[in-house]
Amino acid sequence: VPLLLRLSNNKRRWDWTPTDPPWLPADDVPGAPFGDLVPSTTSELSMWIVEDGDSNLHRIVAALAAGRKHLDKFDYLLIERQTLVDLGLVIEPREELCPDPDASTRWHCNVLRFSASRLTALVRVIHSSGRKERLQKPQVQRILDAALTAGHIDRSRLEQSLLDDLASQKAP
Amino acid sequence: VTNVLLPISSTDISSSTGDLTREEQIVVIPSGGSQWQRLSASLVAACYLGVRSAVASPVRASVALFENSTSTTWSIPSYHTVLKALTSQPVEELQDGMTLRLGTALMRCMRDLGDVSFVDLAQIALKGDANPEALSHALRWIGRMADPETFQQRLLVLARALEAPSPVVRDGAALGLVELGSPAATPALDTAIGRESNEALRQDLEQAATYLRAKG
Repeated sequence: VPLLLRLSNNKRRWDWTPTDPPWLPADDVPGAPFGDLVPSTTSELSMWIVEDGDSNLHRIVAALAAGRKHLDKFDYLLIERQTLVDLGLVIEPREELCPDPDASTRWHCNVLRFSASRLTALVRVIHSSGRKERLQKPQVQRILDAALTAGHIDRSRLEQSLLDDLASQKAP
Repeated sequence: VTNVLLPISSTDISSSTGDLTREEQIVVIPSGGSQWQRLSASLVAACYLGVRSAVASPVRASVALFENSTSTTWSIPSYHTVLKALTSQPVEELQDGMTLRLGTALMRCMRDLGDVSFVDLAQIALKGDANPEALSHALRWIGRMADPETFQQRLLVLARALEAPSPVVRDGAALGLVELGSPAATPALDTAIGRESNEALRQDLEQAATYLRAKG
């Protein structure tokens, strides 16, 4: 099933249940998950197309983690592509500036036409059937190291603090 | 662990608590000794025994009136210095891999204040006195500090923070333990997994424990 990846700043945003938090009105959704889905000024969201079998997943993770200032864990959401289409959203492949230009050209897209109700509907769908995943920092480090070794990431685009992190983690 | 005041051995606990669950047990720490000794004993109870702890009141005799063992640091000025470090980066700027400013302020604070800052950070996490996101990132910085001399203190503070009321902070503590990378943290994580009511967080705690166990 074709999937789209959206970076999550903290997957704890998606942990709510009908009784937690207790102040949540019945059938409502809390505000927290919307923090992971903040549309641009043109009501678009940046996402990445994940190929069958998650074959390009690590490449996407590396492209995103390489834009950070230091190594950290990596939380992300996976949503079925058809779900977005069913909500009336439009998926438009579009290159984005990142340290792996080839990955961006091949798999980055913008999801267009977000309204308040579509955003809320997307939150509900992700909460009920989306995958909320996490890679621990050591895993992110291995993925970044592999991407640099393979030449997928342009080392000159990385922050010095991130390069220092990668170097220090290798030290005995 | 050295310089730890632990008045009740694990044997004593099991023999005196009968069928009580770990959540129902408590280690009682005498009110004497230094603040750091009391916190260390509390952290050892959490880490190695998986049991909560309390400081005995020298005046009151009832167990119900015991203070929590980490609730004795209010009068320490460094508490506010640590709190200030935790607000060094606006909450809306706190994103994974983008918290250098917070990390720098926190490391400076730890360097200047020494052991007491670890006590304060544990206290702040348990009392929920700072923004949970800031605390989550701070606990990860504690885990990634390159300072072997404070390894034990950091391990214990992170283990204690697994008991924080906020799931975001508990999550940050587990992430910090993964950053620390010591299999010694797995008993504390296992205990945290046992008492965790948030299903998604429990799975993430299990992921962290599995990672650390694999390292051992």
